[in-house]
Amino acid sequence: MRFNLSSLILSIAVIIAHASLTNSTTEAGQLNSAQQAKITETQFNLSTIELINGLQTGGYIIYMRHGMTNHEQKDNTQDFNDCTQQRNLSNSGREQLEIIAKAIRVLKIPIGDVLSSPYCRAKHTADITFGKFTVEPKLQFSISKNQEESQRLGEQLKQMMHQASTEKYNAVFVGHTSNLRDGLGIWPKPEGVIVVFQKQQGKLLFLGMIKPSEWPN
Amino acid sequence: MKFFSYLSLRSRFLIAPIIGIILAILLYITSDAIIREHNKVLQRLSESNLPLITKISQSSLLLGDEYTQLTLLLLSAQKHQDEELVYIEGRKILNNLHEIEHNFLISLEIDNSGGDSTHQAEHLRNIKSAFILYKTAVIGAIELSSVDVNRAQQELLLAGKVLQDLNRLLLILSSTHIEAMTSASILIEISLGQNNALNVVAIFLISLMLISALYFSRNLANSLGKVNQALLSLSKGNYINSLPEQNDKYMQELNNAVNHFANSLDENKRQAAELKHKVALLTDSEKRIAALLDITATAIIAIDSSQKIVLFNKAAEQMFGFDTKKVMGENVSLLIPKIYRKQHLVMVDYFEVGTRESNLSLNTEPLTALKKSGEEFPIEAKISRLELATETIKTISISDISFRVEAEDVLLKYQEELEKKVKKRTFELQCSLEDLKNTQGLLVESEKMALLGRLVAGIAHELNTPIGICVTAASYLEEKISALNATYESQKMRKQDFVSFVDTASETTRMLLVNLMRASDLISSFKLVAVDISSEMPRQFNLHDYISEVITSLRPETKQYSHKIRVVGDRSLTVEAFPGPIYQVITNLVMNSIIHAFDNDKQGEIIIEIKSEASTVTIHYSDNGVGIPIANISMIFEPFYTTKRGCGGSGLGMYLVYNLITSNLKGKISCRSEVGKGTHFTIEFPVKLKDG
Repeated sequence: MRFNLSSLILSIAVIIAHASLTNSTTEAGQLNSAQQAKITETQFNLSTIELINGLQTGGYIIYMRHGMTNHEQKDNTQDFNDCTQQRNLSNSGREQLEIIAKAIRVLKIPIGDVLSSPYCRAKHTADITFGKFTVEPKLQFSISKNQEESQRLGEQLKQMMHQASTEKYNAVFVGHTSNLRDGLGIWPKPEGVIVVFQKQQGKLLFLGMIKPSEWPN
Repeated sequence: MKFFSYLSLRSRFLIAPIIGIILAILLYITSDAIIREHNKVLQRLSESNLPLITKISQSSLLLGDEYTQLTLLLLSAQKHQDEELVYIEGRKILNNLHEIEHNFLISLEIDNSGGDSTHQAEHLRNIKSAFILYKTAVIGAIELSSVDVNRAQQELLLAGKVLQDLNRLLLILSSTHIEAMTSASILIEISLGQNNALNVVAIFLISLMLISALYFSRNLANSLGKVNQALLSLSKGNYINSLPEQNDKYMQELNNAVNHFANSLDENKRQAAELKHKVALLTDSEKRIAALLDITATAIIAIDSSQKIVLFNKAAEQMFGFDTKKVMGENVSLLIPKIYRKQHLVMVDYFEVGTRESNLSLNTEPLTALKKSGEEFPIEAKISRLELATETIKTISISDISFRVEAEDVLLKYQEELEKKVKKRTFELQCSLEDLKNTQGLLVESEKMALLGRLVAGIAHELNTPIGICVTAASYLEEKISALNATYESQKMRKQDFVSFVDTASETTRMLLVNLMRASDLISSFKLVAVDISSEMPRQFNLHDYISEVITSLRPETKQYSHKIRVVGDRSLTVEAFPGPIYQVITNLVMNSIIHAFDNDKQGEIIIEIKSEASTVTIHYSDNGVGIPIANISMIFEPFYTTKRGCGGSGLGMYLVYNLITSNLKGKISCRSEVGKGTHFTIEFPVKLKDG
C-alpha cells in the first residue's frame, strides 16, 4: 500500500515539474522577444530631416535593406558567388538605389565601414549606394536557417553593430529583413530602406527609417 | 536390474531426482537460449524498427500539419499583406520544419536495420534532398506571400508536390522496416520449431526417471515394509520371525540389523531379570553389613569427599553421644574441637596426597575428639580410603583411648621416679667405682712391690750360692796358704808341695772367679731390672739379650724344675720401649707357666720367639703345659681371677701383664690355648715407642 501511494505522489510531482519547465522555456522565449521589443520600442521615429541631420554629423549606424528585386527569380543555391541562381536586384531597384546614392553624396553623409551580406543583391546594393563594401558572411539571409541559427545571426548582427566604429562616420550594414528582425526586432520595409540606429550607453536606439522615396532631391 | 542392487541406498533414491534435475537444467538452458535469441531479435526491432516507423509516421503527420499552417498563413497574408507578420509566423513554420527534418534524420542515423545498404543510402539521400527542396519551396512561399500572391501560391503548390514526394519516400522507408519486422517474427516462429534433438533427449530422460523410480519404489517399499512390520511388533514387545534373506546387499544389512535388534531386546529382557535378582542379593548384603556395623564395638564413621558424614554406626553413637539420623550429612568437624579443626583440614590434605596412588590406611597419632556434650576426649583413628564406582569415601575406625592415656600418664610418673632413683644409685656406684679404681691402683703398685720383693728375694737366694762357694773357696785357699806357709816356715817345703799348692791355688782361684762372675752377672742383671722397674724412661735395647737376661735372673725359680726356656728369633732387633714392663711381663708369664701350666711338677718347655714386622714387634710365648680351658681364657686377664686362690695366687698377675702391655708398651696381648697341649700368648707392641 505504502509503495503505491508514494509512486503516485512521485509521478504527479514529475508531471507538474515537466509542465512547469516547458512553460518556463516558452515563457522565456516569449520574454526574450518581448524584451527585445521593449528595447527597440524606444523608437523615436524621428523625421527624415532630423535623421539626415543626424547622419550628416556622423556617429550613427545604418542598416540598409537591399534594393527592389525581381521576384520571378528564386534563391536556389548556397553558392553566394553564383548570382544566376539568386534573386537579384531589378532594374527599377537599381535606379532607385542610384537616386539614393546621389542623395547621400549631395548631403555629404559621412560613410564609414560598409559591411554587406554575401548575397549578390546585397553586394550590388552596397556597391551602387556606397561605392564600397566588405562582404560579411554573418549578414547572410537568415530566413532559410533553423531557429537556432537565425537567432545566432541576429545576435551577431547586434554585436557587430555594438562593435562598429562610429567616430566621425556612420557605420553601414547592408543585409536582409529577417536578420534585423531576429537581432533587433525591427522589420525593414520596403526594399531599399535605410534604418538608423544610435549607440547610447551600451544600447542601440532605433531612431527611424528613411524609405527610398523619402530622400530629398 | 542386478546392477541396481549394487547401488547404495542413497544413490538409489537420488537417481530419479538427479535425472530430473539434469532434465530441468537442460530444458532451462535451451529455453533460456531461445528466449535470449528472441529477446535479441525483438530488442533490435524495438530499438530501431518500431521507433523508426513511429518517427516516420510522426514526421509525415507533422509535415502535413506545417503545410496546413503555411496554407493558412498565406491565406491570411492575402488579406493583410504585412511582411513582418508573415515573416514572424513563417519563421515559426520554418523552425518547426527544421526541427522535423533534424529529428527525422537523427532517427535514421540511429537505425541499423541493415538490409540493402546501397539501396538504403540512396533512399536516404533522396529523402534528404526532398526535405531541402521542400524547405526552399516553403521559404519561397513565405517570401513571396507579401510581395506577389500568385507567385506565392505557385510556390505553395510546388511545396505541396514536394511534400507528396517526400511522403511517398517516407512510406517506402516505413514499409521496408515493417517488412523487416515481419520477417524477424517469422524467424522467431521457425526457431521455436527446431528442437527435435532436445525433445528426444527429454523423452529419454523422463522415461529413465520413471523406470528407475518405479523399480526402486516397488522393491524398497516391499523390503522396508517388512522391516517396518518387524520393528512395530518388536516395539509392542512381541517376538518376531527373523527376516528373510535378500539379494540386495543393503536390504540384507538392514534385515540383519533388525534381527540383531530383536536378539538384543531378548538379551535385554534376560539381563533385566538377572539385574533384578542381583539387586535383591545386594539389598540383602547391605542389610547384613548394616547389622554388622551396628553390632561391632568399634566406632566406625565414613565420610565423603566433602567431609560429610555418610555412615555413623551404633558404637559411634555411643562414643560421641550424637544420634545417627541427626549427624548424617553433617561435616565431620562437628566431632572435632574448634581449636583442632584447621589442623584437621591440613591432615585431610596430607592424607589425600599420601594415599592417592594406593589404598593405604593411616593410623593417626592420638587426637582429641568432641562429644555431643562438649566433653573432649582422646581417640586414635584408623583412616582408610575406599574408592567406589560413584564416589570416594574414607572410613574411620575410632577407639576411645582415654584409659590408655591415663595409664600412660601413671607410667610416665613412675618412670620419672625410677630415673631419679637410678641416678642416685649410679652416682653412688660411681663413687664406689672410683674407690675401687684407686684400690686397684694401689694393689697394682703393691703387686709391683711384691714382685720386686720376690725378685730381690730371688736374687738374694741366687747370690747366696756363688758367694757361699766363693767364701768356701776363699777359706780353703786361706787354709792351703797357711799350710804352705807353715811348710815354708818349717823349711820343709818341697817342690811338690809348691806345685800342688799352685795347682790347688789356681783351681781355687778359678772357682772364685767363676762364682764371683756369676754373682756379678746376677747383680748387674738385677740392677738393670731394678733400675728399670723403678725408672720410667724408655730406652733402646736389644730385645733378645734383654729377655735372655730376664730368664737368667729367674734361674733361682726355674732351676728347681728342669723346665727348658729358649729365646729364639730375631737377635738383632733393637727396640725403644720401657724395659721394665717387659721384665714384668716375661716374669709373670714364666711364673704362670711354672705354677699353672707345669703345675710345679713336670718338665716343660717354654719357647719365647721374637719377630718383628715393619714397626711392630711380636713376641710369641708358648708353653706345652696343661693349657687353659676355653671357658676360662676370657677370664685370665680379669683382675682377681685365679685358679690357685688357696695357694697364694692374687689373681692380679695377668691383669698386670695386660695393663703393662696395653698402657705402658702401647701394644696388645692375646691368648690361645688348648687343654692338654699348651698355651700360647701373642704379644705385639711398637718397636719405637712414640712420645705422647
